[in-house]
Amino acid sequence: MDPIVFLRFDEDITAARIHDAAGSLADLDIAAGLVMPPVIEGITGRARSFDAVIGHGVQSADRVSGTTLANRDVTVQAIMRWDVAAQNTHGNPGTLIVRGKGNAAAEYHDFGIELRVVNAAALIGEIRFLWQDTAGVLKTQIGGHFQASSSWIMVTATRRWVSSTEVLLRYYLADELLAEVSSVDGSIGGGTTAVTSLGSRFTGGAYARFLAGAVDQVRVLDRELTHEEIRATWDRIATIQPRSLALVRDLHPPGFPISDNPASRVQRETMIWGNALGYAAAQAENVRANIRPNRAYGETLEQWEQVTGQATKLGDSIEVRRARVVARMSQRKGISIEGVKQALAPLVDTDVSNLSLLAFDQTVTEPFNSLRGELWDVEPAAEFSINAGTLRLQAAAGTYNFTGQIRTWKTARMSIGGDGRGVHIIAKINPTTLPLQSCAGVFLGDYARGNFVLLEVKHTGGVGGSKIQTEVFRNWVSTGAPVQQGNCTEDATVWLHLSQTGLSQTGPAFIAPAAGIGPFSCRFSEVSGVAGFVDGAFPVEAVQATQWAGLHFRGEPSGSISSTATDISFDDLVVRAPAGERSFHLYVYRDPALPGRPDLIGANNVISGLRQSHTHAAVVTGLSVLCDDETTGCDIGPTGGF
Amino acid sequence: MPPTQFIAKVSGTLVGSIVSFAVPTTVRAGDPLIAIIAADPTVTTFNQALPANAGWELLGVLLGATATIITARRLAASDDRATVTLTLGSVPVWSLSVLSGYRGSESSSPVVGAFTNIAAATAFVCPSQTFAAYSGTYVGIAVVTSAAVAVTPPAGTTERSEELVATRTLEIFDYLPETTGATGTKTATTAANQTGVAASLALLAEGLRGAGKVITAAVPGMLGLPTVGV
Repeated sequence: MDPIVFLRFDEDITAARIHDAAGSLADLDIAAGLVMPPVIEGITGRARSFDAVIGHGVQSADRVSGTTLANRDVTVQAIMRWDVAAQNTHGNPGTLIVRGKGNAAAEYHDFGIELRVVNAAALIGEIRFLWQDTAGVLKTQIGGHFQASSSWIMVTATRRWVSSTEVLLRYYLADELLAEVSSVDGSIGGGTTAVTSLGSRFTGGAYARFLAGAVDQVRVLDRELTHEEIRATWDRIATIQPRSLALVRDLHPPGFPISDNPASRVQRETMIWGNALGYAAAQAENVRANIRPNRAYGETLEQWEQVTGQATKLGDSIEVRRARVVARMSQRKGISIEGVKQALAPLVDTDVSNLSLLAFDQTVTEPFNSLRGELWDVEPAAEFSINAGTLRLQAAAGTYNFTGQIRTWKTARMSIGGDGRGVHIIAKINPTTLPLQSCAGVFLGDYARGNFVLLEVKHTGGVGGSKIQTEVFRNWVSTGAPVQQGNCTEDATVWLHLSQTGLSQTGPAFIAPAAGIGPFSCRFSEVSGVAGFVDGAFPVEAVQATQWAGLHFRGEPSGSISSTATDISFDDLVVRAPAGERSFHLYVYRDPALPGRPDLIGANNVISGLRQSHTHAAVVTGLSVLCDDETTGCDIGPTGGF
Repeated sequence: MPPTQFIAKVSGTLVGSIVSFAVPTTVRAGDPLIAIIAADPTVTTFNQALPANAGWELLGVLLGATATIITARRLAASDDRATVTLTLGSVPVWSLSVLSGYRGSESSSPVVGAFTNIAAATAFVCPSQTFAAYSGTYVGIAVVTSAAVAVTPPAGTTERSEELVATRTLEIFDYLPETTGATGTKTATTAANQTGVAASLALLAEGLRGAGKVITAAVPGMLGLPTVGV
């Protein structure tokens, strides 16, 4: 990305207006209160001198309005000389460059750099940013302190806008980072028609805060330069080019008579060859030092991102972009637990030990602390509630049937998916009020085929008061409701255990069980969830009842139940679906309470590249993974259901 | 990276003898974190050798007549939990604590502290500190034996914290002297006469940079700043 302002000060006479090599600014000139800075010899050619007493300064507007507006990321870099003593005498910080005159919204400063004397005797200076917010309030930032001198120096100031409350500023002297400052002043003003000033700032109705020193080159970019880029420039200017020029000069035999006139052919040849050699050597050194993805920038980094399949989102910092590439490339150990965590830890800004892989199994043990919508489908929702760790059903008197196609029963169900082989559902039924001729229990069901298997306690009245029965529906037609246990204590708590176990020896599993072997089994207990179970006896039914497991309440066989309201609690629920069609999912959990700035986008890019085909992986910051959530890709539930 | 820069602060929570701080999210790995803990005079120690205090460096214990001020430092680490804890030598009767991040402050050098006992005055005169180098930070502390009066930091300083508990106030302020030598005393002011302790700390900055980083060779025709992007 090219600079938006580039002033080289190559003009050979003072009166010549200063040209912007980037073409953004109109030729800079004086205005009322400003004096044209004189041309002097600089370090890379001609330069301009700024005397704070005289009031040197220039200004101009954009050739095309808005070209230089930079109210987000910006870099100002200059080769300059600063006269600390003179600046101190002036009594104000000296302005290197500032955009806007600050006296109207269209002129609010979107960026400015000034140098302040911290201690003149000790030659301590400070380079700092300033800008105005959208209301015009001047925001002078904390700068970087440095040991100043009267020599030519290279200064760089970068700003990265993160949010309206966070801006990251970095200040460099030569290739050395002076300070990294985090500012809360993310509201940055600026207008398209603002005037850019060099060497002074318009404040209080006049130009003031003049710079004391000289400027050889200054450029402004609308992005944040990296430390590597700054170092590469410094190395070229301060070391490699001077050495190369000296090398070419030294090719002449000692004492060989050559002209010292810079305009002479021999000197011009020496300059050409020396600078060309130096430039080439510097570029080679830049590539050597910064080709790796952890130091790359610009097009090189973009190419690394392409190679590793990383997408760049506008606003991503260079550190984030590099970290993503490095994480992708440094991944080792396959998708082993340790390998995955090592690859992700730098991106999510925490130690490897703070990451955990979540493992889902095919068993749901429901504590009923809440009715999780991602797991349960309840109908009608208004009559189910969570009560002291149980699922409570409270229904008014009415007709609630399950007679195949006619279904007004009340259910709380979860999908189990797959072919249902080996599925188990266990639940505690605690009836406070179970009306006569009504049932509560567990079921397995396939709504598409109309196949259901129910295991339930029924309030019959009479001796005992309750019984335990099963009923199987094939294609919505009941095959009967045999009693499994009669004379149960009325309204007593029971534990019901229903499972689908049938496996055939030939053909598809469980649809055609071997002769004499039923596909379902049931157990029930009036004692506890772990003792006193009695085995029931299912008829031999070739029924495929997959898809759903749940809790139900209904009137049976049909017709109305009593006018008594229903109050039942379900508890101790365990559902296990070992054959659920849930492919292997890899979820890496990072506790959101940990300090740091996790790059979840980058981390998910990396883990997506690590996962096996036809599986899903994600870096998550919650211990619940929602189904049908596009960010986690969990399209099916942990038990393989929908 | 001079100058020393205040990043964020968080109040501590006391349970028994354990003070807990939730690390501010703006803190980065390597940032020095300074804990300032004011407690009743029965608290006299802080043992940095305890396993429970791993990562903490005791900077000083100021034993005032009405309050003890303990200062400790730790460097923020990438594997820090969201909350860091510090165990005092005994269970305080009362305690107020603040954890502040000061990026750019020296992470290994001692921190000089000093205090003055205040008896029935509105002026809490925090002692002068002497800086041998630039860009350090003066931190002033006032522990006031009242939670019912406002405490005003000295002019030219920035208030960083005013913590209250029962009958005590902990006031913390700071400023950048930008000079070497003695800073002079800094006086916090209460609305009415109070007793307490006035203290100060000198946080040194990391070494000044840039010395010798100049362009010495005038290279005719040298290419200066890059003219195009990369």
